[in-house]
Amino acid sequence: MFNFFDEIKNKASSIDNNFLNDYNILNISGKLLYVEGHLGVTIISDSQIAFKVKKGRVVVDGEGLFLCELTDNTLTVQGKINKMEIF
Amino acid sequence: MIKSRTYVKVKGLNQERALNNISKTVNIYNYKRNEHNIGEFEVENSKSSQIVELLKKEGLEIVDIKSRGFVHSLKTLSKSLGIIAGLIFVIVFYIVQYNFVLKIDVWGGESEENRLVKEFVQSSLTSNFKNSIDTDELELLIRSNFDFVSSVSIAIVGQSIIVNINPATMPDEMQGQFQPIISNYNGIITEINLIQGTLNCEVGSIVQEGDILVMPYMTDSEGTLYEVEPRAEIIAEVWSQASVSHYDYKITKTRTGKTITLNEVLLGDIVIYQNFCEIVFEDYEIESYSQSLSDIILPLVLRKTIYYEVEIEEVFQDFSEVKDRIIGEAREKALIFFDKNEIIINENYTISEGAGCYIVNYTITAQVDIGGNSAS
Repeated sequence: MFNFFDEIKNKASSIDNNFLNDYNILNISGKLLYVEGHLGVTIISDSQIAFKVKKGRVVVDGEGLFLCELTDNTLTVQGKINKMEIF
Repeated sequence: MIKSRTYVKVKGLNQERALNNISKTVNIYNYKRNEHNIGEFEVENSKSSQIVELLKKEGLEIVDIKSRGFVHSLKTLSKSLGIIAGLIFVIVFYIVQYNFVLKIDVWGGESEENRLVKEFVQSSLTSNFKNSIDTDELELLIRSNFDFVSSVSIAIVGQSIIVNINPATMPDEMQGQFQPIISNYNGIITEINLIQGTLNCEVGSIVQEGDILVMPYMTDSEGTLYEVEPRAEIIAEVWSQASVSHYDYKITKTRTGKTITLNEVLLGDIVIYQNFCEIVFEDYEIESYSQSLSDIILPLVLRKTIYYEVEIEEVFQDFSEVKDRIIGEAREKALIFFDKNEIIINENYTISEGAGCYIVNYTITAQVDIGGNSAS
């Protein structure tokens, strides 16, 4: 079965694929942020949404942000995304 | 609003932790936090009862919760037994009544013919149930019962019976009331061209006004009589006569316009009131009329007598002075009996005299088609 993220990972020949399995984040046009492999939301406000990932934490800054979808291991942030930082 | 979701508004601290826990079993959609401790989100309708328990477990207060979407509306509707019963009743009623004919439309004929056919169809229907209506049989019945219908087609459209009739066109020889052709003139027949019917005259016959010229029937080779509208071209020399009198001496009366009115009220034959007035006219004419005033209690009658003053004049006029005019008047009187396009064959006049009185008799002979019309 075609997997979008697996296809991209296969192109990274110099990196061991085992190190690429922590989480996936996809920013679509700065309006939609799709995350796979989150470990829990820590901050939710209309200007900032933060969530934990394996070995780190991701902070999304923007305007009019809200959680479009939240499941056990995926989330989707919608709004005007200005910045995303991984700590 | 196709997606069916339950909207939840919650109040409480550390909602992130609660959401993380809840999202392990229930997916959260469109989570927004407009205030610090108030958040709102949606879950699938099927999870609505579950989300209430989970929120309680997480210690969040539910401020508002409501279901949205098409499926939810259907579910709500399904619980409204009255509406469902009403809908079912309407559907059943519609299905049942759709099997019955409610209206009959007749097209094609005159309004009176259509009305007759409509009444006939109504009376012929044993039932208004569509399946029991035999349109073929109805067509046959209409054709056999109405002479003015040459063909008919019947269709059931919706809840109407559409009857389409084609009026019968009778052949020309079968139309009319079969009255004989009767002469409207006095004359001698000069030419006959019989089209249909039986002749009752011949060339050279002298006919008078009212004489039958063509009988309204024909006889076939087997001797059977059958009625037809008589038609013939019968040319005759007919004559018309008129006379005008002239008196060399005569007295004329002319009303001057002056009147005197005498009013009388009568009880029976007894005059009980009269407006006395004197008749001052030397010569006058009298007109009188009566009008009932009351015949309930007393037979009172108002009688009016009007006296018109007249001037009497003696006129002396010699016939020779007005001869041409008198002859012209007589000719005009004679011509009244002919149409303008009649062919005049001959015209003459005679003058008879006696004691100062002259009588001009004017006779016009013309060629007229006296068979061109029937008495009908």
